[in-house]
Amino acid sequence: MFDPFKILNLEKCYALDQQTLEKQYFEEQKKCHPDQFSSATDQEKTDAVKKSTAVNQAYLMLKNPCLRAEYLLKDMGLETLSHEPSFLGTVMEWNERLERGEDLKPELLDQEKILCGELEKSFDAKNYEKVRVALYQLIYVQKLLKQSEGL
Amino acid sequence: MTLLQLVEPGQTPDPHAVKRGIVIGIDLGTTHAVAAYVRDGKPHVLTFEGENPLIPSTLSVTEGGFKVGEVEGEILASTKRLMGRENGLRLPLGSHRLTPVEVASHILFHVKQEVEQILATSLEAAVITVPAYFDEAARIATKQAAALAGIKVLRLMNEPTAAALAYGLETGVEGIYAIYDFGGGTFDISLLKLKDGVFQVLATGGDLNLGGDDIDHALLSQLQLSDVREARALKERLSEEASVGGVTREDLETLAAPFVKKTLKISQEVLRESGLSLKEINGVVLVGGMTRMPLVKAEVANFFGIAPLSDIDPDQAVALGAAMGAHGLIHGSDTLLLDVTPLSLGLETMGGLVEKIIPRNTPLPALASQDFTTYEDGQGGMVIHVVQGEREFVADCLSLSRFELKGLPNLPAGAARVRIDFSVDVEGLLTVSAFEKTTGLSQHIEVKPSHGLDEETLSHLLLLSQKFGKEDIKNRLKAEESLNTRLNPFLKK
Repeated sequence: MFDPFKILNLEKCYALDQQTLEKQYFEEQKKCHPDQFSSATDQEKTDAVKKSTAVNQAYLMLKNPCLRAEYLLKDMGLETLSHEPSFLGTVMEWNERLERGEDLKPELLDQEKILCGELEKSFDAKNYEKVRVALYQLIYVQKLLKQSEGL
Repeated sequence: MTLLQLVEPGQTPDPHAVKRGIVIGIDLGTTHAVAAYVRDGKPHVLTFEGENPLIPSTLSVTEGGFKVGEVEGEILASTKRLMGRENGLRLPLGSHRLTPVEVASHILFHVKQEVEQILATSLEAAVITVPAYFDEAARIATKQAAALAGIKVLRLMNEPTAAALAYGLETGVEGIYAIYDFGGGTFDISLLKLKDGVFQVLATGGDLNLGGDDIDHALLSQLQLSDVREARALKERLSEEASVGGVTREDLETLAAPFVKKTLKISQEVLRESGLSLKEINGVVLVGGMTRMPLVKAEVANFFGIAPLSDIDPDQAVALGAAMGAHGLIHGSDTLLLDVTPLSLGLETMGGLVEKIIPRNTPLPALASQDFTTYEDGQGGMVIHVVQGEREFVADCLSLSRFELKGLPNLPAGAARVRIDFSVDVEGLLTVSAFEKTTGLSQHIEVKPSHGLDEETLSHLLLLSQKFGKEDIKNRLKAEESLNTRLNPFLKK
């Protein structure tokens, strides 16, 4: 199975700072980027493209807090999502405000930060139900952020 | 120091003593082509002693045959804008009818001859640069032109990335840099992180139909000049002088301002998309002839809030970087270029909607897969339509390729499992494969330029997407709703 932590030679753990991730990403790409193999055999070239692609995929996955959390839950054989009924009301309210043309970006960015912190704390405490609740909310917040940017 | 070197019989003592040709970088620009090569670890533009290294990207025909370069009389110019837009298009030149690829191949062939004459060696291979914003069709067309000219392409490289390479390696700058590349025909903006020999493109954007040419034409019609070359010369002189023949620099700036504004609007969008703030940008690099215009320099400085860099000649930076890239590919290097897709790649799904498979600004090489299924019992085939662009509807995107996956197994609706893989290599070239899981049936295609494309739609693919983003999403929701009651020809699993 695809293991982004192993591909980037990182410890399998939710807490991950961007600098460490980037450092490992650059390091692994230096080993396998196709440009380093322009005089190699076709087989070596094909292997390099495969590895370099996997390194990019692993990087994108770990850079995104939702995908990183989702991977870790799946890897432990756990469910990934759980929703709190009260959150639905908040989402509906946000949607209404977006419809009215309100700029929700600052508020959503704050919320994103809080939820990312919550994910990290809950992973630390091995409280996976709390992880699932935070993950569910974070996915919504990121979706709304995209909408609020008109993307 | 080696005092004694033992060499087996038949072996060459120094691998570099093997007679090889030279590798070069070629900036195949809309108005000029520039070639450069590396000697003693330093890049140099290729030129006859004391001559201008810029080769005009123009083609004329004389009794002796085709001629590249500036001449009086009939010429073909700025044909780069038509690359990949073939569609049977033939440009008249004397009694000839040439495709844009053929014109480019004449220019490249001329570059090859110049290189071989000046350096008195054969040309082994080249890195050729393309606008970062070039789509698939234009990239493939560029490779075809090189092949026609007998030039082996080591790699296509994006112009702003090449310029960043020249700056990073020559000046040793580190941090986050914006490369503002305003040329004769195209505008590109790329944001890169330069760190420990890594050149990571964070986001890129541009407009394939925005360049100095547009200002030349505006000047041409405003002053009722007879020749666009006259307009260009006037524009260039006004960068140095306040007034030429009664036309003032202010007059020119009034004409140029809307075009410059457009470049800043695109820069704003790319910045927003990268998630970076202006404060995080350590520097702005000016590339392309248009950045010689004082108005452009001032507007860019004002927008980014920093004095832009132009230490390396803006007409030469791309070629110099390409030469360093070519040298590194052949001789090895510690430098790493991590580039991205400029435009999203996707598939047509039900109701003419686009399912994005690889979003723009994805690091390369990239691979993404999507599973699809059949909508009818015993459905024997499936049409796969590959598109490029940011809009929600197929009709608003660039159609890259359409093929049919035939011989699907006789299964009830929804039972077949077709996996479609999109892979994009470091040059930005796409390969699409389709794979039916229950039978192992597979098809593999490389995207070829096959589209019948509306020039205007293309030039504004991304700008329109940003303008209509919200509207598109609403229309999409409506289309999806109305389709829910119907059968989906291309239902996602």
